[in-house]
Amino acid sequence: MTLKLSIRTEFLLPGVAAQLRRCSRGPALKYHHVDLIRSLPSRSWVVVVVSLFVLEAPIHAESDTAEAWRKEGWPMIQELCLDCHNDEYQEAELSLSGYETLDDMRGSEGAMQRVLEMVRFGAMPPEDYALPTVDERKRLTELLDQSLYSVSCDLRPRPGKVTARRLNRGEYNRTVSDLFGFPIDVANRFPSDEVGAGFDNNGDVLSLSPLMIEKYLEAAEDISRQVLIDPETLPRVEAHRPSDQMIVHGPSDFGSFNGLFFNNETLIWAEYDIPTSGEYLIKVRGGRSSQNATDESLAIYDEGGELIVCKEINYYGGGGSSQSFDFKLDLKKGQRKLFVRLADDNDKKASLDDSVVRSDRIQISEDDRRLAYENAKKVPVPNRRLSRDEFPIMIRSLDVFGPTRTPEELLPPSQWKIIRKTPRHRRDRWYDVEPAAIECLKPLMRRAFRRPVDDEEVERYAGLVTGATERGESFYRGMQIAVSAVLVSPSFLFRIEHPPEDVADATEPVPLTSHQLASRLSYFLWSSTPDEWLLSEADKDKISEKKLPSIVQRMLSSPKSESLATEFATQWLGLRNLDVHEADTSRFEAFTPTLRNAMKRETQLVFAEALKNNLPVADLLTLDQTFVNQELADFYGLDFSGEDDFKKVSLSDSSRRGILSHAGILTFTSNPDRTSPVQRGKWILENVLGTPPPDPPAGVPELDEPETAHEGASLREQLEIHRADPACAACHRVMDQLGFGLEAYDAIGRFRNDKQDNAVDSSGVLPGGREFEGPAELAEVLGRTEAAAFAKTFTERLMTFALGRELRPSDRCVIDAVVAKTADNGFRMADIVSEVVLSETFRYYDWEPTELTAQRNQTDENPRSVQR
Amino acid sequence: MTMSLNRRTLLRGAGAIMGLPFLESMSSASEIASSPRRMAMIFFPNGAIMPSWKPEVAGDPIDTRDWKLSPTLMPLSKHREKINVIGNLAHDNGRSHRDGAGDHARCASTYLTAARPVKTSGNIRLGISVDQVAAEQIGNKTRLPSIELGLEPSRSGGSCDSGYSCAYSSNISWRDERRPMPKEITPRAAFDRMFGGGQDSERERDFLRRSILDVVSYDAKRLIGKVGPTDRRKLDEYFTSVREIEQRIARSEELDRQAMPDIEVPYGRVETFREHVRLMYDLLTIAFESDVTRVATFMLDNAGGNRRYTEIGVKEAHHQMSHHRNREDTVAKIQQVDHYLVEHFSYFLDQLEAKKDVAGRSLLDQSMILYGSGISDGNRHRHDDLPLVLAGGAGGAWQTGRHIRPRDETPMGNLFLSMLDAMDTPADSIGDSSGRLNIL
Repeated sequence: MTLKLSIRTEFLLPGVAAQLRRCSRGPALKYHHVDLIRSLPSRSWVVVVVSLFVLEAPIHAESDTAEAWRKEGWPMIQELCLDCHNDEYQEAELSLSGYETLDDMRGSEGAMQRVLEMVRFGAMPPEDYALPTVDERKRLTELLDQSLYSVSCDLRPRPGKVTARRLNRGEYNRTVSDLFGFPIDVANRFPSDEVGAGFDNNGDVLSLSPLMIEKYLEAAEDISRQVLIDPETLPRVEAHRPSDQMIVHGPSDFGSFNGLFFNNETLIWAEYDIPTSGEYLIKVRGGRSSQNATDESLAIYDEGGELIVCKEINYYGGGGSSQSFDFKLDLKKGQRKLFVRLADDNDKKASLDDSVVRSDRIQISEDDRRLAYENAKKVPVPNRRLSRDEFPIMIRSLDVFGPTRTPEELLPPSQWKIIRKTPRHRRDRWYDVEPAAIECLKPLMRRAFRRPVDDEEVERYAGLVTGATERGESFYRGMQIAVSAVLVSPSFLFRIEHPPEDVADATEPVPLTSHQLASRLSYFLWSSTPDEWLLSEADKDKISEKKLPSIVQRMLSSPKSESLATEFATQWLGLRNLDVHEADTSRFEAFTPTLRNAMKRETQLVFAEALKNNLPVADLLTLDQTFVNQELADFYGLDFSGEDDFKKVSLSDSSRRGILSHAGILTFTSNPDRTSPVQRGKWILENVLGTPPPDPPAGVPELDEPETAHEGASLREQLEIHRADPACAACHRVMDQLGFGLEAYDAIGRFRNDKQDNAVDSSGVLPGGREFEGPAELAEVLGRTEAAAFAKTFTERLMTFALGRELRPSDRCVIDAVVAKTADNGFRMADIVSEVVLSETFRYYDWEPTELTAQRNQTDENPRSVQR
Repeated sequence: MTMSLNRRTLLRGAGAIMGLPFLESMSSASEIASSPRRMAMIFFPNGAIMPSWKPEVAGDPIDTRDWKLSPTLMPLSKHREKINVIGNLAHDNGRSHRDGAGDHARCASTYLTAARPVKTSGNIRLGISVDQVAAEQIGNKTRLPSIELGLEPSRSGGSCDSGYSCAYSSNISWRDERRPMPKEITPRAAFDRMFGGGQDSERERDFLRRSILDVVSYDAKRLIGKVGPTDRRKLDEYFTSVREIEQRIARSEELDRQAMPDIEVPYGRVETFREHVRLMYDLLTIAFESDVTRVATFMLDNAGGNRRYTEIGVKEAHHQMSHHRNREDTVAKIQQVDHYLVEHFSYFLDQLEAKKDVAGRSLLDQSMILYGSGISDGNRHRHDDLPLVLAGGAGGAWQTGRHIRPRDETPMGNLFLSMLDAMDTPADSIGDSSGRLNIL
């Protein structure tokens, strides 16, 4: 069989082609023509190849398309499909009766898109029915595609409505972390989020239950205590050390009212448990023993012997009186000692501006020390006749209070960001709480709600603070409660897009406000809340179309955009399957939890790096570099020394190339005990080529029943038998070929060398005769010839993630436009991100009027009804 | 804007757990049959004007029913048949001996321990108090082994009276010789302790959650009016979930309401002494009624307290006045204070008398309520012939309506041993006790 093929786009890219057609004004675009002579293994192989004939049609006027459909397309549907898919029989609940004209297709674009995919893929009509010829199938595919494009895109594409989205777990964690400035991961306790259209940020499926509200409350209470601390609750000490709790070495006598009288030979100390490092107030009470004595001074040293204070002190005053003085001292957390002596001349001469260390003054022998502690256990009995001459000075107490100021390191970094003003506080009462609460809450709520807040709503949150202080709680506790409420508010938990004023006329798409756009941007690129910069740009209404590219660039260059790897790419490429994959560890001992994580991380890092460097998306398939840590490097057999840290390494000495050689992807597309070429092939079809195969027909047994092959048959042989069934052949032919290309890797992505079974055969042929031998060649062929298809898949997935909704048939117009715009530069990843953001679908939305407006509109139509 | 808070709602903003203490403890039939006995010891500082305190009685009988209420005890007239006025008990350990000054510290510290406090401002050492002896033995039967109430804050450190640690002056209940039982002085804190409250309690949490949900559901309502039908469905989901949690809290409040004592307990400080002391008595009544605990102590003031009873026109500080040096006007004022405090005590007895158990016996009949001080004559710091009233029949353990005057210098510890017998929590000795007060 000889075919003449045009290999511009191997697997279909009809939309792109159509877009190119629409945009070009000259004659038909030129494509490379190659003569391809190939004997194809079976008819159904051709089925797929057929889809490769595209793009040579001239520009179609709408009427041409409509006419072509009516004259050619519809008769083919009638002939090929209606036997089963008619109104009466409705096989698979699908009737294709009544799509005579393009207008009939309007509203059924989704169904028709699926028909297109089935026909293109060759899954329909089934093998055991009358089949179209290769040309017929090609023509039908073309007609369906043109018609659909015409139906969907000739009007200005509607941006669609994105349902209010609840923050998912990842977004919640990132949002609160960014909001308060340090990592918080409470959302890990939430139930996992529903996934819609492949991502867990889909507003339509993300639901909310009473349980979630309870979890949100718990998390909010937890966070508010982390981000804001009531300084009153911090450990403080009020350590009274009257002299009967001091330890004394040397001569002394104990008078009334705890007066400890001593002389120049005495060393006295007291011990304190200091709860936290900081500044403390030290209060000394004592005095000279008699009025006659002259210039006695008290010297106080710290435990290093440094002289802290030397102070002349007056006569204590007799009876229970005493002189007192106090001073402030920095103390370190832990058990501290302060030493007291009658000051000597050196003490008196010392200038306290310099550090004067006199360790000798506080040194005593170990025995003396033990004895002093022993004596301290005895309760001293006051001696009313003690000798004032013998003991010229007296100390009554040495108390430590504090810390005098709250040590900053005990407060979270968010403390003073939240508490911008503290109300007056006197004797357990707080005054003028509300204005202070408002001043604190307004900026916080603006950040948390991602928009300006009005006074009325702030006041209600401030009410929680005043309520708390009225109940006798502290202002800080009140603020914690208000912060909790902010974090449970629907304005925080949901991203809701509605016009500032209700729009009665819902016929035109509504532009997002600057703040709504800022949120879309940040949750797309960062999976988190807008930062202060972005929010103030929004405040100034500066997020214009013109500025968007530079804003996107700025955001992509932030480390926060790593979320595109950990959230977007991880879900797109199915890496979360790896978390739950159970390899048969009796056969694959290397598959440890740490290796599993390393595998996932590898793909994320490669993606992030490619995005950062704005590489062509197809490079993901062909890159000869990757990221490994020690464990993964050992697993891959690469030279490496870097331990747990991931580093970029070259793969030039290896035959691994691109993500198709990533062990993670190879693993979760395998069965626990062996590889599955079918699953791997399916993965490529879905995630690289963007052409998911249809589900197998009902009643098909699970893959690879061994009894269909002889004992010891290779997997490939088994699959050959499998494919003999016409019901299976259509899809499996391509799928299996792709999968075989990766057979060089075992079920956990290691290069095979098991010779004893069957020699590994990783060769295959792709539609269009693209032969390959081994995985590296497969990657190279795909990267070279399927760049546009891959770019389209990437764009579709990216758009789905960016919007948080499932794509609709009409979105294809926008997708195709993005792909077309980035084609010239080779479909570079950041370019595509930028174009997605610039698309109207991203910046606008279809507005559904509120019920009130809808009612009002109805009323307007009926002039007789009385308006309220 | 401030949130309006209904105090009753606050009190009841509680989980279902709230009603449990009562149900739990009443769950055993035998418990109901035997109707537990309760003990409470109330302390007032600075002694009393003794001539106005002592009942009028003919001769010097050891035990008589023939006595007349003194002026100070006159407010107890309606409870005359439910009380015993006891004289001649002494705390010898309250006396100076060789420890010098510090009678007020010794007044409070000996009051329920009969033990001698070690004169120190740091390494405090005393002895177990009578309430704690009982609590040790029956405390496991109730939610709280015991409760300690007061009206003035304790001082944590330093010396309060002539070198005695403040712990001696601010506590009458001692768990063991080194550990005073800190007292609750705000009614709300006391209530929360009795009924499972506290800073992080379920009730507190539910109350806060409800006020938070109140605010955010208003937000949701506001938003619902601004969005179209699709978003509305999402916000309705939010709104109904919030509502469901609110209702869940409301349901537990309802259960709570059914099981909870009917009392309003405000948050924070109570302004007047009168309101404060009566709330505390109310709480004690409820604690006994709902069997949260069977053992309680209550300090009307710390030892040597200097409260000014301005609401009865006494502007001078209590302790300062107590050194009256027999000046007539000062004596009259102190007596006025003594009388005023007894009025409140009588209010407490009213409450206890009003509560009947299943067998028709009043709480008062089932209880022993000691009211008194560790000093008799405040002017001279006397520690003998202490002013004491023992109200309630202790479930029939003794007869009431009597005036009892055992021989001079009978250790007060002897009374404690008899009370402990009546509680069925006997001890061999306490402090300087020398035996039982058999005459009781």
